[in-house]
Amino acid sequence: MFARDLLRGSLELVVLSELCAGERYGYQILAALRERSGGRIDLKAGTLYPILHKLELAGCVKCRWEEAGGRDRKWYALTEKGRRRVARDAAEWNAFARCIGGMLRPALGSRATLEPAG
Amino acid sequence: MSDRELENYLSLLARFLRISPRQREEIRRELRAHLQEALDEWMTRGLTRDEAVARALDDFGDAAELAARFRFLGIRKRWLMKSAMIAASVGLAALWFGPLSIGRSSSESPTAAATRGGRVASVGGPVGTAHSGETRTTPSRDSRGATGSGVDAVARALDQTLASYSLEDRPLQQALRELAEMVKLNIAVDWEGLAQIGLDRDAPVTLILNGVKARTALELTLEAAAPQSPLAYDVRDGVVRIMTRERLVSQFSTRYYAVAEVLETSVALGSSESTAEAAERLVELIYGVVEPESWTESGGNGGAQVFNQMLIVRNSPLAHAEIEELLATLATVRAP
Repeated sequence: MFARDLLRGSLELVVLSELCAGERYGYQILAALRERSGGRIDLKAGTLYPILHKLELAGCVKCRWEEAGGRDRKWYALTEKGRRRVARDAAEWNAFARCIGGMLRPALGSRATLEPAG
Repeated sequence: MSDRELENYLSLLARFLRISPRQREEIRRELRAHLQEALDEWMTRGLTRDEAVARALDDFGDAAELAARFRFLGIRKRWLMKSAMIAASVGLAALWFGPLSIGRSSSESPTAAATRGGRVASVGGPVGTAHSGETRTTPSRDSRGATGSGVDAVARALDQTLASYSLEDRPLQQALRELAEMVKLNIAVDWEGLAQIGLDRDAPVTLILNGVKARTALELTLEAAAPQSPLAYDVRDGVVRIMTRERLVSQFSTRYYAVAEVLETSVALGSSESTAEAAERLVELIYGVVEPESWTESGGNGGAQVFNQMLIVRNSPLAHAEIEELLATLATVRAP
């Protein structure tokens, strides 16, 4: 699990990006993040739901309840505003990563690279 | 047994969420749904239902912390919940809720609810809140020579008791304006500084208070708006200035404190041989207990000196407030 301080600034972006692929409910999002990060982003429910709630208040996601097969689920989907936000924040995050990566090159040695690890 | 535990946890959590019943119910429903999914998964992996409940609740963590992260928590003391299965053997700590009314519904006392849930563990320390920079009994002047009269008016205003103070998702700016009007106070907010910690004028605040002082209402409003990044306020020139705590501790100014009496008392009590020695000991005392990191001796930028029975201090409003409190307390000691 990545250090909390490293993750903290990116959590909302990561959650929003998960919704780019389509509607999701909370439990699904947690599992997907875990899988896509190779286990390095393993959020607790107590971390995720306040984020989703905040994104809802900010108008970046919309939700609906659905009861199916005995399961009660709250589905989240990106709004237009949410899409714009992901695009904007992802670009900024990328610029940030390249900048810091460049500055860290001496410390990382010749293996410094921004390719995804897997 | 486990279903009841689950419901108890959710009930206790809901109590901490100072939001509308509808929103509370919505969150509760979602968390229950999540817990259900988690239970199913754990039991598929071979855990018994009781074990699964324990794991699932464990993953949720601290109810109070969780509620705080929903940004609606506004009570002074945090309640920590152990999520272990030893519910029955966990002792109950004394509950202190001060002048606040928790939630809207209950006729049931919080102790009863906690007993039912069997999970309250210990009392957390007071939540870091806004710090008051008001003068108390020791007169102080700022470097431009203004006296404390503006400060006294503010202190009186903040001392007023509000019969009721009720906010539901009220934008912060509006809440502060209303409070200012209620007690005839001047409030200025450093919005730019607040924007830097992600707080804007419309940050929603929800609080329900009865019979508290305006000062308490102000501090809790600031805390409700920004539970993780404490806001603070300073009183200067008759205006309550609200800013981030970080800024409060970095704005240095020079203030003067009359300390003749305190020094003479020290000599009269035999603690010091002369007022000169008492002065030295006073400065040492301040270095040791008032914002210790802030003095040049410790690598900061602050300084304190006594000259002609005047204590001259250069430091942040936060340090000044602590010095005022320290001097006021020392002033209560009289030689026999």
